[in-house]
Amino acid sequence: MTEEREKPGRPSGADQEQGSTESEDGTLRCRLVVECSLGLHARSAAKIVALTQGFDCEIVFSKDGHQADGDSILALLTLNCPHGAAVEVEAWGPEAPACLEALSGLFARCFDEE
Amino acid sequence: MKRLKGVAASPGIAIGRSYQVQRTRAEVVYQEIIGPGQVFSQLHRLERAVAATEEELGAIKARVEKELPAQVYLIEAHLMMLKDQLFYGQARRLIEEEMISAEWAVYAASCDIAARFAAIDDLYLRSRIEDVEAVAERVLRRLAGQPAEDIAGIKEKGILVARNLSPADTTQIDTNWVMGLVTAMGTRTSHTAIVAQALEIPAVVGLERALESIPSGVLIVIDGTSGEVVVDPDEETLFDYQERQARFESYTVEIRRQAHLLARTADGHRVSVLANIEQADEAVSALDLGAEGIGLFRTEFLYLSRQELPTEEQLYLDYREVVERMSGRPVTIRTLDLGGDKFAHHFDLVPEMNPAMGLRAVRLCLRRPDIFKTQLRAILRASVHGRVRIMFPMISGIGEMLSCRQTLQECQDELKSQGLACDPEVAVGCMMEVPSAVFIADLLARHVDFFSIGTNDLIQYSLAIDRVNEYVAHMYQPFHPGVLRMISATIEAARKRGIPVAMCGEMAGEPLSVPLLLGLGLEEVSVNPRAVPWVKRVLRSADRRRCRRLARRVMAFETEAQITEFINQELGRFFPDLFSSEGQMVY
Repeated sequence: MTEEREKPGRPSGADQEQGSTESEDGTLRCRLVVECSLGLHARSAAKIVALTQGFDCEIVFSKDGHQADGDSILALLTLNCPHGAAVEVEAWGPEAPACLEALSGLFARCFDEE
Repeated sequence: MKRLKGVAASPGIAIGRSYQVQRTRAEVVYQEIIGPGQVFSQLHRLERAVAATEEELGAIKARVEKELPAQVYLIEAHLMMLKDQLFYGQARRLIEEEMISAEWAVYAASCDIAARFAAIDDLYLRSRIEDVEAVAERVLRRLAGQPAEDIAGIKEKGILVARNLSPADTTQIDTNWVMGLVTAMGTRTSHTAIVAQALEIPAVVGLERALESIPSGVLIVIDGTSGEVVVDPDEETLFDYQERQARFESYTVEIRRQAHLLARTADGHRVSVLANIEQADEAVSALDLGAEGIGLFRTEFLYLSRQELPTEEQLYLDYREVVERMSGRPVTIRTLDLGGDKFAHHFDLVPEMNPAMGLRAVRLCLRRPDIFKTQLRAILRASVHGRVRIMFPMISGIGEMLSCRQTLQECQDELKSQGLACDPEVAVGCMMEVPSAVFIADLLARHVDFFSIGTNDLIQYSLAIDRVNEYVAHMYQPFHPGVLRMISATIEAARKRGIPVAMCGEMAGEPLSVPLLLGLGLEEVSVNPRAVPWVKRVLRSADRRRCRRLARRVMAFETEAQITEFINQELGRFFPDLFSSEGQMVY
């Protein structure tokens, strides 16, 4: 509940929503920015895992050529995402659109932490 | 003999053997190649060890959920790590493909993960490897047939020495064995300190290199009042501390014995010292410790401890129990101070981004008059059994206050028409914890019978500091001139209007701030029951006129640092029998 409060409303949050594209094989892609001041740490990674586990789809995060499955807290932590880092997200499967939407919401709300 | 200095976190002296709680890998790791026929049995061993660890963590999670809900996520993260493909999945693969033992596979998998973490440049993220290691250790210990060292399992009297204690650790401390705590990490307001104070065992935190400086099994002395730790003390030092320990203990006993005396200052001024409680049965110990009433009865417990909402009858019986136990002494019941996040299952609310400033307390209650009225009716019905005061939390403006009073009036009328009795004179007040309320205190005072300053939230909201956030916790300063001005303005507005004003935040129970609060004109404090005897002791040796002069000078300073330094010095001078010049209680 500190200095980051106004951020979800800033342009970067809006970009995240619009940035989603669909490729020919049905894979959805979008770019999300870690806005919370602590970066993608244990609490936020745990929230991503809990969220992606609730959807019938595959989620892969990538950054700097490294990839992390959305259901692996360790892979997410070691993806090395401090404050301000941008990650590419790929999603495919029956519930990929819903999952991606929920994910960008979680990112935009700074993982409900601040 | 070696003298070390850390941060004093919980008062008292402990003398005993050090007991290192090492959160490192179990010593069971060795490479073992297995034959193809053993793959299945090794996989099976791994599965069982992981299942046992999952159960172990699940039990810890259940305990933490009850006692430290804010820390549950940590245990959840550990559970996720345990089942992570990079850990569990990788260990399984190593057994199958490399044909190595379950132990070696777990060790190898955790080394791979450690290598990934080592490449991270962010210090905080990099240090999360500790969590992975903690999980791997639990599994390795299970594989070795020696379950992870549970602090609850310590059956040797000693002083715990650790780098840091997690909520999973501190919830398990058994004070029959654990005499004190020393940690390398932590501050005066950190989790370890709070737990140690609640358990009433001495603690020193923030002692850098504690594990390196204090080996296991040596005699150590820790002074939780000054922050000193002596490793392997010589005879003279030991004797000195034994004497001090005895003095502290008899002093504590003495202070408790005097707890029933009235808190009357040296110049004859009365200050009421009441207690804060959360559950009805705490009223008994509050009375034993000399509380003159309940200044804050937090009513959330009955809502959080069950799935369904409590009924009016359940609430009434609970409140009545406290009111009757206090036999005529005031009982200040604070209406529900919960946010939607705390009980989504009752309210069907979406998670909020910023719950501390969200739909909580009276805001939530005014939206749900059914729930609000059930509680108000229960409080009103309990009011005939003694002296009840109703207090509304999180009031930020007059409109809210009037709506609360309106709802209360409706309840009174309903009860009357139903022939149910309630005290028509029940006092109605509000918490002063939102800065806007402080600025309109003069207006608000026209609409209430009393104020109670809730310093925890007032400080958080006025300094914009979340004290649970380790990066800014040090800036949570009760002696910040801005905070002191708010307190002073509230007291002044109440005085002008002729209504009583109390303080029920943690600041009121801090012996060091009591003389200042007295000097600012506060006439009632409500504190943790354990602090009642100490606060009364300070008040009895205080002189109000001197405290007023102290307050006047304090209010002229510009910074928190100047104020703290000045108060420490002055209290040492005013109360040489109570405080040292460093602001510590002497005994």
